[in-house]
Amino acid sequence: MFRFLHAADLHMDSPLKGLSQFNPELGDKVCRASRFALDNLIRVAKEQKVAFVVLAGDILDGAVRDQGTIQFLLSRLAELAKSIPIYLIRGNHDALNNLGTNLVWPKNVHQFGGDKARTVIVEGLPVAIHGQSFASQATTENLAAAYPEAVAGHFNIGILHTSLAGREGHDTYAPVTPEQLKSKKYDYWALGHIHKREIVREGNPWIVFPGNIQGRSIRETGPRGCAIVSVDDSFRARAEFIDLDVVRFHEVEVDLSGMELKEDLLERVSESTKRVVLPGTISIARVRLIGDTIHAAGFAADRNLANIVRQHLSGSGITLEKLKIECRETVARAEGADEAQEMFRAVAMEWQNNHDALQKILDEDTEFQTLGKKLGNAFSKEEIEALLNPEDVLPALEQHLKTLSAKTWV
Amino acid sequence: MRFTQIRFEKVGPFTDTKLQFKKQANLHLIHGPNEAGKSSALKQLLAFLFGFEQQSGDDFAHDYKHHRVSSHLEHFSRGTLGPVVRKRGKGNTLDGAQETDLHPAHIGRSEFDRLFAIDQDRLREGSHELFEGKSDLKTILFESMTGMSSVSSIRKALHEQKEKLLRARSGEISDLLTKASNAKEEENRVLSSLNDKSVEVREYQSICANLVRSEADLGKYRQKKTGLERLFRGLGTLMQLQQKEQEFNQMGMLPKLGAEFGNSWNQAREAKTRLEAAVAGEEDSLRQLTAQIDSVPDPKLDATLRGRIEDLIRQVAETDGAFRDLPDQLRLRDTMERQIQDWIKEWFPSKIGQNLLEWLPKERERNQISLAASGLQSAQSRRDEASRSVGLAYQELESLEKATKELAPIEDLGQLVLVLEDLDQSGLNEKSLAKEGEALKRDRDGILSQARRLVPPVESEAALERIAAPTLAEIQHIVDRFHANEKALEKIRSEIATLRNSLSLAAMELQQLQSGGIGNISRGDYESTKKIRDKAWNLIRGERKGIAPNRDLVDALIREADTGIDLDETLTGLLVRTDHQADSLLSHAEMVSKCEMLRQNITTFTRDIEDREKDLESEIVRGGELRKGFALQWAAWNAGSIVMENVRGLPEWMKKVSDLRESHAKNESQTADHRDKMEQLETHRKRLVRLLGAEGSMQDLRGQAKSKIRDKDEQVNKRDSLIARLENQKKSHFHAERLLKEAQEQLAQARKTWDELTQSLGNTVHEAERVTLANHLQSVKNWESERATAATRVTQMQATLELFLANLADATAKAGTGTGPWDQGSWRGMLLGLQNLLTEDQANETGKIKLKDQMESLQLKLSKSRAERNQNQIRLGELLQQASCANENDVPDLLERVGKKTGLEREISDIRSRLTGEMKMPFEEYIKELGDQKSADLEVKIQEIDQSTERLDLEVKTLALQKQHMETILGELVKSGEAARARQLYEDAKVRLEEAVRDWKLNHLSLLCLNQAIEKNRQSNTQSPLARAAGFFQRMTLGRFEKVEFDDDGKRLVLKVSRKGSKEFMVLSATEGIGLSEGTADQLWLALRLAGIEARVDQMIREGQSPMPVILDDVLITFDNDRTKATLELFAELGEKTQVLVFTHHTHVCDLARDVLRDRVDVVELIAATNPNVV
Repeated sequence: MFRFLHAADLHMDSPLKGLSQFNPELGDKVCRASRFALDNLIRVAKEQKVAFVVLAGDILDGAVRDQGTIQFLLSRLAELAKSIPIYLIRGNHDALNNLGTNLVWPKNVHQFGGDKARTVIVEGLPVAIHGQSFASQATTENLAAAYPEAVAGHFNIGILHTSLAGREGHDTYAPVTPEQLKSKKYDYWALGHIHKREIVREGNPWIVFPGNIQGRSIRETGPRGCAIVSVDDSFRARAEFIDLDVVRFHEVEVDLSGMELKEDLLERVSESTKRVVLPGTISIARVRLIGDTIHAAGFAADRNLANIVRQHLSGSGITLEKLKIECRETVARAEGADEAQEMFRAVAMEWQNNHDALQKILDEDTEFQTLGKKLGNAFSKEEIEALLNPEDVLPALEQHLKTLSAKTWV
Repeated sequence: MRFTQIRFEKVGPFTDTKLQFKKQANLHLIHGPNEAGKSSALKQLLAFLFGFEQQSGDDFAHDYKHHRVSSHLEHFSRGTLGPVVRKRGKGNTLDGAQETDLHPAHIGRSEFDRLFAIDQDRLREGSHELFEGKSDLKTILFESMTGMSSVSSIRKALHEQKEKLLRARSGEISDLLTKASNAKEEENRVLSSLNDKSVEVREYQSICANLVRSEADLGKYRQKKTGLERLFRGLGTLMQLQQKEQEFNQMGMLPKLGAEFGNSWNQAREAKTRLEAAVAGEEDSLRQLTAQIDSVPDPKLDATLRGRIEDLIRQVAETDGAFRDLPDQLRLRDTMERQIQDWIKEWFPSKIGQNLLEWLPKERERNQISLAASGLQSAQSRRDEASRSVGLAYQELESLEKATKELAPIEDLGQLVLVLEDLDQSGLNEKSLAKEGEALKRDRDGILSQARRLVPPVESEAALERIAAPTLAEIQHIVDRFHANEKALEKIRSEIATLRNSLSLAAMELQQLQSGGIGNISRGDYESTKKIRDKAWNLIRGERKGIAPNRDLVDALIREADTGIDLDETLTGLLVRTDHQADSLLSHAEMVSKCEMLRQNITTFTRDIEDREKDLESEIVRGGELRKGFALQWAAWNAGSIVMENVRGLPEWMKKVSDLRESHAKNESQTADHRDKMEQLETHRKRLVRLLGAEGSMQDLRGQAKSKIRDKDEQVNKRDSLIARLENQKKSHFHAERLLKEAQEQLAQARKTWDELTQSLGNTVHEAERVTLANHLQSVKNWESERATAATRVTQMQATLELFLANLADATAKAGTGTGPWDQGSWRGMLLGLQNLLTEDQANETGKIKLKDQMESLQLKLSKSRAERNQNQIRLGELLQQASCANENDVPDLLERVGKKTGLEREISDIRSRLTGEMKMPFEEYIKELGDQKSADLEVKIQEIDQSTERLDLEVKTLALQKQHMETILGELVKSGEAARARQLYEDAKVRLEEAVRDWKLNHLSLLCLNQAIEKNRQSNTQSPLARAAGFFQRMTLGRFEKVEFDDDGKRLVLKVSRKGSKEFMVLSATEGIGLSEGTADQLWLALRLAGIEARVDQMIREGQSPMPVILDDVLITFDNDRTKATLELFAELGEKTQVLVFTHHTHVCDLARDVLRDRVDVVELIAATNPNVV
């Protein structure tokens, strides 16, 4: 009967994070990945001949400093809206109080207000769209509860920016449970906020997170895009994901179990990473070396190993984000060494379990303070606090010391 | 594990150097002077234990592939092993033993270096750290206890890594901070430059906002306008609806009649009318029948009476002949009359009888007179009729004869026709035509043969056809024109023929006129009748003027009439006849005028023919010219062909010929067609020529016709004079007789001529003419026949009249005798009356019976009709009740109103649904939306909206243009990616910074963790190794320092110095340098290390593992002899637990060892390298 495109979390012009070795050769593709992804979205919308497009918030990444970003977004949406109407809400990143309300959307782009949820009937179709923008970023109440009743005889779509009952790695906004959404008797809940695509519920109603259109860091691995929803005459819907991203993050495990010759490492890396090579897409991979091998310590100790692997992968069109050496030695340590490890582990565990003790040590630590001061030139206080937070390295301490005590590479 | 032999084969500076160790010795001193290869030997020994390094730089004497180190050894658990060979290469490079045999407990090279091997450099480094207060004694002790001999190096590495990360200059974090800062600055710079356009952006946003607003307003207006227009459109319908509703309401309450009521009512009404009409009709019929029955007399005669009457009639009939014998018969008749009268009296005693008796004599008399009068009248009329017929016949005949004689036109015209036919059939023309055709054929053949000579046949035919085409068309055109002319001529001919007919008719009319009304009237008659007529006319005129007719005079006139013919009739006949004559004269005058007109027509036609002739002549001339032109064209083409042939040359010509021949077959059929066409053309030409020839003859004929017409004119003139003469002749009878005679003669002559003409014309006479002539002849014959018949009739009538008159006279005479009233006629009349009476009586009887039957049937029908009428009345009553009407008259009106109301209701519903359909909304919503708005209001509003729309439209267009303009300006902004790039760089730097900080944190916390671990280790169980080290240190220093321990806070090392009973303590800390000599510091560090080695060896032994040999390289340099001896003693004690290999180049150390240890020491001399060039 008709189709529509559901996307969310465009985060226009937000930089790709975690590219510790940004390759300038990748150029625009990386710098403007979100723009290319939006172009892809427009292309897909036209190719799929969708009746309308639904954008479930976080279209902008926050208070935009680059007017070019706004101009780009508006120009592209204007182009799309010439033929296909767009219905959007604002999320926590582009909440109305955050970006202001003076953003003038192009013709045929309908933004739901932030004061209350409203219903819009799609012209020429039996489709009712309900939605509400985030008035402010700190929207922690259940917005969906106040969404209007379903319009009889219409395919009802609710657009909502939410973390549902909570999603790992995402702050909680507009919390609501799938059961509560179901009680609204809508046909389709077009959600946003969660960057990983997910069909929370398949029918009666459909509850779908399309994910963001472009992965932004190694934490956002795998394909990213939108959902194309087909609705038949009986209002039966079917959603399928379509990839839109131009830069894709991958996490690849390279199992080195039983590897005797360290020269076999690159071959195993090639074998494991070949699946992530996708034509037309820039693949950025974090490679984790796992398994038991007699070379584990040697690899760990070799600070040049990452460069060797990076160079090797670049030949396959893959950009190495990071090489993580998580493999283990196949041989048991001497008892004494084990005792030493136990001692390290005991200290590390104590710190992990008792942050205050560690903090006390660090508070008196002049080197930490010195570093903090240095970082102050480039980072905010919060960022420095996050950076200097020791918790992220505590689990690695034991291994680090173990690695340092192991024999060197070659 | 103890070495018993080590052999360096082709490795380093060695070619084959063997070190043999004594099994019983506790300490092995490997002595070699400088350059003897001691360091190389130590290196190769480690290579034997852990494998060759990849690029060791040892290939200066021997190629890598030949490098070998072998040994024999005593293994702690496996006994004697050897030779165990270590070779250079990949994979397993050890032969004769397992790797684990050589370095058990997975002790790697690094650990071995840190734990089991001490060289002079490491000793110096360690002691310096102690000496300078840098060394962490706790670390040393920790290393000693845990076997992690590398804690210092770990610490160092951590420090180095931290330093690398956080160095003020070129530290990674610093660099990254700079990069991040730069990137941020770059981003800010770019954004700042971009934000220079913030005014434009704001303006753009404003324009966009205005545009969206205006477009939205525009949309709203348009939507509103659409709504209003829709409302407006609906208004008409609504008004219609309201009107209908008003009408509906005005009709008020009406009884609810079913849909079938109207039909039922109409049917009932119709039935009522019909039934009432039927009843009335039937009643009327009944009445009529009754009257009829009443009017029909009752039958009076019984069978006897009828028989008697019939007998009487028969008797009368039988005795009818007897009446001739009048006396007897009269008597009989009287008798019978009486008898009849008696019978009548007897049979009809009523008034009828009386009437009959009265009627009989009257009827007899009446019949008698009537019969006589009618007989006379009939005879007179028949005579008159016969007389008139005869007169007319003669009149006609004479008229014809006269005209024929006077004009004699038929002969001339017949001759003319004859001549024309002759000419048409003229053999002479055929000949000339044939001649002409021959000439043409010759021409054509000539042209064809000429053409054939010049070009190949096919080409020739085609070319001929091509060239001839226009000429043929011309000729065809001329032929068509000839045909047209021919048709025109035909028409003229036809007109001439018509004229001829008209002339003939005119001639005949003249003849008729000339002969009419005169033939059978004598001069005397004429004179007398003229007088009588005049008188009579006067009388009649007087009578008509109201003057009473002078009967006397009339009587006198009657007397004067000697013909016995009824005067009035005679007069009338004369009058009619003279009138007829006058009419004839009038007709004649008309004919004269008509003839004049015809003559003019003929003149016109002649002139026209002459014009046509001229045209024809010019066409003929043109045809000749065309023919000449054709010949010229042909000649030109011929010449052109020859020229072309010469020009094109033979090959081309040959090709053309070939092509032509190829197309020959194809053109064959076309050629045949062309030939056919040529033949047709020839035929046309022939016809043309023949026509031309015929035309010549026609001209002659026309000449003749002209002369004939002239003659005719003369004859017309002559006729006119004859007419004039006729007028004169009419004046005198003699003259008329003479004329009649002449006419008869002329007629005879004409007949004769006619017969002759008929004979001479034979088959050649034109059919139409012949038919006309035949018709005329037939007419003449008919007239003659009719005349003869009329004469016969006159004769017969005269005879009949005579007989009748005789009879009448006889009858009158008889009647005058008074023999009684009963003559034959009276009897017959009476009998007829009786017969009629009988018939009538019988008819009455039959009629009455029939009428009664009819009446019965009618009564039955009437009663049925009445019953139906009553039922109908009831039904009507019911319907009236249903309709709540007082009387029937109200019902149609009610029905009409109900129908109208129902119709209105339907119309209202229809209009509503139409409105709903048109407005696409429920009616009520429409009304609600319309509110009180009127048409005018809406129009005003729509106009207002139009104005606003126009304004907004303009505004939108302007804004769109502005927007477009701004988009062009801001286009760069969209394209710019510099900020994003800078941002990306910043993010990248930040990520790398995060990693660096994380690395730093990791190293820093690792260091802290390590320190914590060491401290914990110290606090728990480091006293034992420390005590052991203190013991070693005390023996090395020969009791000078007797105690080594940490202070209470665990941060400082406290040395208890025993200077021969001194209780003084020295405090040694990591931060405060202590006053130890270099050598003492060496000895303290070595003591700590030896304690660590001993602990590790003890641990391995405890674990059942073969302890690694301890390798010490010139560690006693700073030791004096006494302390050297004490230390060698310690080495030898350690050598009891594991093999101790001490490399030294000091001979005195060997001597001191031999002196102190005697046979417990094994001094192995290292022979200088075999290759003096490389050592």
